[in-house]
Amino acid sequence: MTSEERMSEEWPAPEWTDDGHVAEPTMHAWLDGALAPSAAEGVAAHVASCAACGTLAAEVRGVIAGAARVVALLDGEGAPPLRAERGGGASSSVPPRAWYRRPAVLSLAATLLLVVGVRAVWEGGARPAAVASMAEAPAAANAAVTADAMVAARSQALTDTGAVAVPKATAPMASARMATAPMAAAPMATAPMASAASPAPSPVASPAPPSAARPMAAEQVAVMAVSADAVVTTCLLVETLAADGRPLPPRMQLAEGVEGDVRLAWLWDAPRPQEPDAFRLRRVRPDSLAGADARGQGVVVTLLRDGGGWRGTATATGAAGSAVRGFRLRSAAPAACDGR
Amino acid sequence: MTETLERLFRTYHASLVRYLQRALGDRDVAEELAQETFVRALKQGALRSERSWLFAVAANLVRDQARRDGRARRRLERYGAEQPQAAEPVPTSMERAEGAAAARAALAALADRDRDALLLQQEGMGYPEIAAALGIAVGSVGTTLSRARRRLLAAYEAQQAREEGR
Repeated sequence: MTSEERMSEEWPAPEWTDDGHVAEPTMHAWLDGALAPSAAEGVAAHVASCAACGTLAAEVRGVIAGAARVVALLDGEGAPPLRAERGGGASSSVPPRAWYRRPAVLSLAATLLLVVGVRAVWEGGARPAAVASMAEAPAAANAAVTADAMVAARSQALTDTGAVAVPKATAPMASARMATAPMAAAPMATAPMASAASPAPSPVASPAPPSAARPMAAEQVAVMAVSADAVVTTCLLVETLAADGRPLPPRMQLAEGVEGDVRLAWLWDAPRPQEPDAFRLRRVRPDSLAGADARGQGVVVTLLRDGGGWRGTATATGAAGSAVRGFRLRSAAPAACDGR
Repeated sequence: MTETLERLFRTYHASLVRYLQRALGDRDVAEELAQETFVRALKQGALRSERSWLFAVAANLVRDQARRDGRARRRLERYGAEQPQAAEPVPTSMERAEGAAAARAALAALADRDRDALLLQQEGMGYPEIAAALGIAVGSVGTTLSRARRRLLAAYEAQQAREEGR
C-alpha cells in the first residue's frame, strides 16, 4: 500500500453536537466528500430526517459556494463579480449581478416573495418521482392563463380552505451575510384577506386584472411572503402577480402545476421590482424537489414535516453563487397539503 | 530524475502557480516560488506523497515571503508596478478588478493556516493531503475550512459594504 493509499484512509471522524446534531466542521467535511463512506451515509441519513441539520446543510452549501467564488475572483477573470453594478458605471457587458446580491437584497426595504405552487407538490403519490438534472430541467414556460378561468376552476376549494391573504412583509431584512445564513426573520403579518387593503374577500369572483398588467403564468401564481419564521396559514394561498411583480387586486387562486412539478419563483421587491426567477421543480425524493430556471440556475427545495405543517429550505445555485432561504408553511387545512 | 521532474512539472505546475498566485497576489513571484518548489523537490529525491509535499513546501515559501519586512513587500509592489504583468490576465472590466481587490483584501484577513487550507482545498486536495501539507491533524481540516470560509465571506461582505458606503 502506497503512502497515498494509506493517506486516503485517514478519514476525519464525524463530530456531533451535544444535542445530537451534525457539527459544522463535519458538515463541511461531508459536503466536501471527505468523510468515510459509512460516516457519510450516517450524516446523510441524519440530515434527511433532521430539519435543523437540513437547514445547516443548505447554509453550508452556500458558504462553500460563496467562498469558492471569492477565491475565484482572485484570478481576475472568469467568475463574474458578486457585485455587477456600480453607481453609474455598470457596463452593459458586465454580467448581471447574482440575484441574491442585487440592491434589493442589500436594501433594508427588500422583501422576499417565495412563490410556491404547493398544491402541485402535494397532489398525490401518483405523481412520478422523476429525478431531473438541474441542467436538464426545462425552462419555465409562461403559459398564459386567464385569471377568470383560474378563478372559476378553483373557487370552491378556496372557499373550503378559507384562504387568507398574506401581505408582503416590508420589514427590514438582515442584509449581511446573504451567502452564509438564511435571511433574518421579519415578522409576518398573516391577516385575513378582509383586513388587507381590499374589499371584502371574494376570491371566487374577482374581476379580470387591469389591462395594463399582464398576469403571470398560472404555474407561478402561488405567492407567499416569507422570512425565516414566516408562516402562512394555508398552503393553497396564492396571489396573482403582474409581470412587474406587483400584486394585482387581491384575489386567491390556486397554483396550477404541471403534473409532478411545482413552480417556485423568487421575487425581489423594492426598491424596484425585479424580474422573477421562475423555477420548474420536480420531486427527486419524497421530501425534496429540484429544478432549474431558464437561465440554468438551480434550486433545491427541501421540505420536512413540522407538526401540522412543513418546514424547509430552498437553496438556489447559479453561475454567480448560491443562497439559502428557510421557510415554513402551515396549512389551515392540513389535509389539503398532505399529498392526498 | 529529469523524467521525474518533468512529470512533476507537468502534473503540478499549473495548480501550484495558481495556488501561489492566489496566496500572494503576484503572478511573477508565484512563478518564482513554484520554480523554487520544484528545485527543492529535485533535491529531496523520492517523494512519499508528491502533491502534499509540493504544496507543503509552497505553503512554507508563502509564509516565508509574507514574513519578510515591509521593505521587501514594498519592493515587490514596486516590482509589480514597474514590470507589466503580461502573464497576468488583464481584468476585462473595472468591476472584475475591484472584485479581485476585494477578494484579496478578504483573503488577507484570514490566518495563514486558514488561508492555506482554503486555497489547497480549492486546488482539489483532499483532507488528508491538506493535513499533511499543513502539518495538522486530518480531523482539524474541517474546523479550519469551516472557519476560513465563513471568515472569508464575512470579510468580503464587509469589504463590499465599505465600498457601498463610499
